[in-house]
Amino acid sequence: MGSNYGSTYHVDICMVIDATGSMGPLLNLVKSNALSFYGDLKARMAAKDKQVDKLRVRVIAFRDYLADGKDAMLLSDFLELPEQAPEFEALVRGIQPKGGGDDPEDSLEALGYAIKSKWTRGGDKRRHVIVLWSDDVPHDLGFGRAAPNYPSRMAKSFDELTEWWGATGLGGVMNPNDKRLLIYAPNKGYWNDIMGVWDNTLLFPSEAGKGLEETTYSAILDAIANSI
Amino acid sequence: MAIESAAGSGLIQKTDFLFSFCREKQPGEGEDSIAYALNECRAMLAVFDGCGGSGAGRYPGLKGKTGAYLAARAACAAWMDWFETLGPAGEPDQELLRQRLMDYLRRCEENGGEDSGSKLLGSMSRRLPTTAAVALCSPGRSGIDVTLQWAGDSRIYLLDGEGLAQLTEDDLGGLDAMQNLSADAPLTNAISLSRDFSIHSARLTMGRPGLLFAATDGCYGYFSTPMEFEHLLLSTLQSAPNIRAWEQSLADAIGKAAGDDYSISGAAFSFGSFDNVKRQLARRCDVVYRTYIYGLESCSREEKQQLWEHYKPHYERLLCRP
Repeated sequence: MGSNYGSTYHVDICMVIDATGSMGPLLNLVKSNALSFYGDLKARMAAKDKQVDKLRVRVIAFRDYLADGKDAMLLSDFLELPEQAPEFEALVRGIQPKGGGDDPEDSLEALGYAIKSKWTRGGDKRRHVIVLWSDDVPHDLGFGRAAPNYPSRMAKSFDELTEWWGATGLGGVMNPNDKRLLIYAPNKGYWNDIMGVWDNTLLFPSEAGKGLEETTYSAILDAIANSI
Repeated sequence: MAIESAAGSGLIQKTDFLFSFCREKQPGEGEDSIAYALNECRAMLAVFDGCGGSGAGRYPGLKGKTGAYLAARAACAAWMDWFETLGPAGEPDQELLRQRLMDYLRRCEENGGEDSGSKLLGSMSRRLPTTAAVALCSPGRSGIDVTLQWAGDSRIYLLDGEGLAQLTEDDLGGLDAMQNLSADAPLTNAISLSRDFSIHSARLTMGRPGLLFAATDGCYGYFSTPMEFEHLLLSTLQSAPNIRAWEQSLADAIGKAAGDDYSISGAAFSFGSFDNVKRQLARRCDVVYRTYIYGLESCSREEKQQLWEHYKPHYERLLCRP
């Protein structure tokens, strides 16, 4: 892209994955998508004659603070692909579906961690993308606050998390031009609220009892590739 | 496609030539569309850029084309239809334009079947999204009267002896042309079937010879500074022996930089001939090269910003804000 004029494009992607027991077979598909993600995105970009000069991926796997204690939140640093592909693969393969307690999950806390990632400032152009997969709605923020490992600096409410992301015309902690949020989850609860208020977002509604269709994964890839 | 016009005194005669191209970055995947029309009373120069991000869903009933591809063509057809309704005088009927536009977009959706992206929700989801940049020209008392219509980040420019002027402000939340090159910001307004949108309108008069053209973001969006786009326009012009050669070399040069489809629809007014266009813009080409382009490659980001600050007031001298 713009090679004659020397512009460089750096892309960071934070994959936020529901790792609770209910994810079961869906998690295997999400992991499989995550592992083929670099190759698939590269192929999409090549088909559009676009290139990314630096791609980094971070993984956050979440469960419930109250039910799962120290296993509630797995947080990785950003890994550069393809250079750190083996570490990335080991990380993703290590995510196992378990725990979760009741139906809702502590997914808003995971989103909070994702928003506060150390996003790249490199490159002439940048894209900061959060992709979240979940089969259920989030708990209220702070539902797991009684857990000893609950993060002290987490947003105190959905309103505060909304401020972190930023609504249309308002700032947030991420660069408003660079950020994108793609969510694969049921169109209910806070996911529905997010779509109504947060800017630069797309929701791919999941249907109860149905897995992650190939067309949805393809649409997520398209959404990322077309935004670059 | 370059078209030369005949001598005389009406709008057709004041139009030296039309120039246009609509190039796909990837063959078969293009989502731009262009239009140009010229009669004795009016001219229309238009580009449309289907928004590939939010309009990536495909319509099985319309050969599996994307919403972006269809929206750009529907908007193009609507504007062409509407142009045919315009009489020799009077204000263009904006309400009628909007009706035509919505009719064409609805027809796409009715015939297209379920869009594979139609279930998507959120602030970035739009059904049949496209930009538009349209210049309507008519002869006026003191030159060519121009009505600008736009939505999104396709632009209308004027290039005359004073240099390149961006006439339409992008719907990108107030970013200037230099910020836009690195910010890659989301559109705050675009034509679509699913969300409210504005078609901005403004008027100006071209009192001197000039090249007026509409361009999609693939044309201007892949340089490190806006000055490089002006220099590319001028330098390819100075090197071209005729209109056709200029059109070709300009498209080829933009294509070397562009990471997207790139399209232009434009016209030269009141120069008298292609050679006069070259003559009247030769000095500006030198000035731009000496002031902004020479040594630019080795400039730091901060130095480029300083050059932009120097260039910006002149480049924005005719900028119309929504």
